[in-house]
Amino acid sequence: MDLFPNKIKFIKRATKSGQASIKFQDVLEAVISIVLTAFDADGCSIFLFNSQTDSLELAATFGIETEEWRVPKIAPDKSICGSVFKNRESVLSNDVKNDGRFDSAAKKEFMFNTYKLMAAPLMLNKKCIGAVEIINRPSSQDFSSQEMKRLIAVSKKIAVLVENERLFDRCCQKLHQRNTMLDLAREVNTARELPDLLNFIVITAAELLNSEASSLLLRKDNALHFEVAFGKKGTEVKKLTVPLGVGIAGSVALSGKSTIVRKADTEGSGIFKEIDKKSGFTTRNLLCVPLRVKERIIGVVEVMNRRDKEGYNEDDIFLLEGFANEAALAIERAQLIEKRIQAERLAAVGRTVAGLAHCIKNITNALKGGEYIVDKAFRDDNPTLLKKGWAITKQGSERIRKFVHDMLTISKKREPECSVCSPHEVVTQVVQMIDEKAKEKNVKIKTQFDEKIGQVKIDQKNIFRCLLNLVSNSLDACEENKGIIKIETFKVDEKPFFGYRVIDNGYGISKENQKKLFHDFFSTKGSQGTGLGLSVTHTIIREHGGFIRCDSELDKGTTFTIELPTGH
Amino acid sequence: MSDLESKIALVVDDEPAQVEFISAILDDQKMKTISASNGKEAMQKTTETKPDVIILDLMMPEESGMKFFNQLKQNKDYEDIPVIVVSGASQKTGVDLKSLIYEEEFAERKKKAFGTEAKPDAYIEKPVDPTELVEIIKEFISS
Repeated sequence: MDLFPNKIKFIKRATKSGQASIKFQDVLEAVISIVLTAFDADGCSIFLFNSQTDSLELAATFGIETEEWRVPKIAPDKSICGSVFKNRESVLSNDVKNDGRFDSAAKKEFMFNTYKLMAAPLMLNKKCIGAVEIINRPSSQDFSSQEMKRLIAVSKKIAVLVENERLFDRCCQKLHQRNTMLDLAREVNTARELPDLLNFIVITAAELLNSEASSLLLRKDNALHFEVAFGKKGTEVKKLTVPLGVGIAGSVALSGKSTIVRKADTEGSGIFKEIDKKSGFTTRNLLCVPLRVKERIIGVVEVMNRRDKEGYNEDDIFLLEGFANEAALAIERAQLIEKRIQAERLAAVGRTVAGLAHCIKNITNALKGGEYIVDKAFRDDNPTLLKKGWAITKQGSERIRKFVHDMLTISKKREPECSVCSPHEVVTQVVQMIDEKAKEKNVKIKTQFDEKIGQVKIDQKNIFRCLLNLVSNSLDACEENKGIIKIETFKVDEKPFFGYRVIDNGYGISKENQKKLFHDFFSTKGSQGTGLGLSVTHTIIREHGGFIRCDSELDKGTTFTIELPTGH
Repeated sequence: MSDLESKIALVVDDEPAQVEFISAILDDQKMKTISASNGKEAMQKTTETKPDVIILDLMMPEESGMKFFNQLKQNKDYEDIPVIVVSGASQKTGVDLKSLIYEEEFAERKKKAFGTEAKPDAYIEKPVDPTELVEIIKEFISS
């Protein structure tokens, strides 16, 4: 007799839920091997009653080498074990084939090679939880009534053992579920954008409940909308709306009561057939739970077609409801965050428009001045005054043009138009441009070039703009007669980058302002500044794939450093 | 009407175009204009030639406009010179200048901003309306 576990075949699991611990099987196997040895029999089976399916199931067996033997469930009244279980009475038979007590049909179907047997009910106090059966023995010796008594005694112990194992198993399961829920709760609440979150919820629901498909519907006014579906044709399903109260989803959304549908193809199952038609998915069984936030039901989660079982049960409701509660909170949170971001965006747009209006207003103020002066010049017939007035007006025009150009630069995403040149050329051009103004203020400008850089590929016009902007700013910041501005170029080690540095000894920038430096419309220059210069510079540098940095100390000076790819 | 004839106005503004503009307006009234582009210069010019009215732009770098205003009001010789404040925007300074100047609740803030509880005598917003400016000046000088 081979007692090794790997010879034992299991046909049915004992516990209700689909996640029975292997340990329970091991225990039953161990019990069976002990019983076989103790009673010197060929085969032993333990049947346990499954209250969920309302039938006696074969939990573990050894010794019956029947590949063809399939005993999914035994109705209590259709077998020896069945009647033992039903009547709670033990049975002993040494000639099963000819024993009148047993149904012949049953014999044919289930017991064709059984000739001797002993069976006892598994009694736990007054409750019967199954039966144990011993069949055949290698020797020709009959089973005796003495042995029957022993079996009855053993059966009580088996019953207690089974019950203990079940309780333990259930505890482990609950614990595992609880841990899973905690993990899920944490996962679900990591900051996620709404679409990601919804996807995560359906996929997790399907995994958690070991199902082929799942969907999530959210409530909008008086209907439910399919937000995401897993396992079904997502795009088809997304167009569907389920009115409240219609179908399972609609009813659950209204009542808040979780619902199981065991056989979806029967009439009156309540399934909204439209969905199956559109999604090309056939629902066999389904579990639907509400997504609840405090008193409000914001939608439902459904799982369909359980993989390892014929349907869903109470435990599954508990599990999915727990998950759905966390999911609902996470959804609400994500929705609120989205609303807040929207509001912030609108506010930013508002601020930008205000900023724009402000800049333009400044320029038009200047234009008004020009107009007045030109008018007066005509009145007074004063050509000198006319020249002045006209100059101011022209300048105003130019300012508007530049402003518009700057705005376009910031708002458009463009590729820089690069050409090969010497990086120093741009600096020379900037110095030429700013020379007169610098002389007026008696500020010195020095340059220092690093010849190691060689030729580079840059958008000359725009880099010129950037440098001019930085040097102008430096000039504004410098004190008359004392100011010194240094413009340097340098090569960056180990990277195909080079850089410009604009260093001045002007009044510097406070730490606070340094943070706001590159923001649109930030300016310290009163009505003269548009606040766009550095913004534009920043945009241009970024378009090149470069970096810009500011280091400054109040009253000591400022250094702007730009790094750009050399383009080779 | 030339009751403003030969009166002297000090225009303090860092924007040359603005100075030209106001000068043109005042010149039409036959007034004389001296100008300064920052607070320090303004104080200098005030000491050199005591003006009959000061037109002061507050939106200048380093708050030199406000600093100048403080100095003025704390000086016995100059505190009675009427000051007309010109403002470009309240947004930039982050302070609603008009209410700051004229509303009582802002006494503390005013003191902080201006350094003094004194108020400018008049307040106009850019773009300057020539007629309005002239009327205000007449109010202060003829009285």
